[in-house]
Amino acid sequence: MAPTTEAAIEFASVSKYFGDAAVLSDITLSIAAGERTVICGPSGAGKSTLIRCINGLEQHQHGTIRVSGETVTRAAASLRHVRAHVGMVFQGFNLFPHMTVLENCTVAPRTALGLPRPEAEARAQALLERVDLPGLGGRYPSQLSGGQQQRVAIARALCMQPRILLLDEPTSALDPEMVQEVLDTIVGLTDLGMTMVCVTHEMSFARRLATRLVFMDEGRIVETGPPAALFDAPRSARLQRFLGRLQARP
Amino acid sequence: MSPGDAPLAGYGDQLVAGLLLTLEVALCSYAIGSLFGVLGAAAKLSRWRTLRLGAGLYTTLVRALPELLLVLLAFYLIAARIEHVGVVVTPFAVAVTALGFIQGAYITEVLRAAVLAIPRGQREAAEALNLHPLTYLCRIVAPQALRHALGGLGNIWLNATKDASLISVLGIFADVLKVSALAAAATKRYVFFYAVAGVCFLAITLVSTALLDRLRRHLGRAYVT
Repeated sequence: MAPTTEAAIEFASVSKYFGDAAVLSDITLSIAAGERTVICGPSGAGKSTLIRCINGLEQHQHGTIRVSGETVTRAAASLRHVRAHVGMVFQGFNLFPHMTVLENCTVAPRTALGLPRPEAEARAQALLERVDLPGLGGRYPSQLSGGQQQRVAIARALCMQPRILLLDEPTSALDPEMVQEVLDTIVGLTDLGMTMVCVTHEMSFARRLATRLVFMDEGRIVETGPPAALFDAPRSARLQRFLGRLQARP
Repeated sequence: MSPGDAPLAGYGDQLVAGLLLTLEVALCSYAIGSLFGVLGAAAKLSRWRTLRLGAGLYTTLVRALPELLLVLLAFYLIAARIEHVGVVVTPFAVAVTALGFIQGAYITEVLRAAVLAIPRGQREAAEALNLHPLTYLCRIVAPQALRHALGGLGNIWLNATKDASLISVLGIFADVLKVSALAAAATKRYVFFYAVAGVCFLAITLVSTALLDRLRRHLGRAYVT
């Protein structure tokens, strides 16, 4: 699906403080439907806070955030509307450990969407196949590898058929040998046409996934543009330094 | 053979009745205690300061005072007042409510800690998935908290079986310990009858721990190490 001009996510002069420290300062950003945005930057830049504000896991103090036209507020009704379109994949997977893989994937569709069990399970099975985990529905999370758990978490989010998928450092908690399978899974979702916003430190993955890169530092958006442009011709000194440090890594 | 010559000196039926009464008191007080415990833990974890303070007062006071004192207070002070107002309360109801009120304070603390042991990410995942708060509570929090709480809840249950004998101080109840004491005094076979009481309590404990162990394995089935 080609990206349309309708904004899926809009930040207008958004700021957030923890005490006196600004975590987000005057963020203005418009993400079009179908766009795949990767947010990068050094630790403490506010990347995770930014995407957690989109579905109201954290509250901003100033400015306006709109998701599919709905303004994100603290009100339960607003959050319910926003979250109905927004799926999320966490750094720590956050699977429900006492439930099987299939139950993890069906509990929200059955209770929040009212889907009958057979339909919810059929949907879950199809998505588990999509993330390359067929036949593991009966296992518990503790019986899976980290990479498999994160792929279950991706399937669980997709079971709610979100228009927007947020990924908060999806491979940062994984052992190195499992990073690639999860990144490949995420890249494999692009044909669904979802709007994706991903925080990651994996720069080659960012190149494969992103239609747009956002570089943040100290709570501000420093530079934004197509990944190739930012990687190959960074304009700001801060991005140049950041990329330089990444390349210097062993 | 006359009843007096049998090993239990004719006290067998009374001992069985006493054992059943002990179990009845323990089960009823524990059920009431669980109710107090759930309410107490909810209050302690509440965002409202007044509820937190109230629950704090409850657990501090109840855990500070001897169980026996609380049972006597409930019986002679509160029950008398209620009857004065015209509500008929049975001594059994007063006794099990008083015992349940005491257990509830301990259950409150166990449940509170068990809920706090659930990682924050569970709540975030539930919120991101748009789970209704009640679904989150029943399907995500409760099963995980129960698993964390099982050890503490099991200990409180074992104490409940023993505290059940406190009701014998009210004079009108003959629980297994009271029957043993009567039989011991009547036959002068003190060691024997107190040993019989001990065996009864041991049996309750052994059956309880076996059941608790099965429950522990059931709740832990998802967690392989």
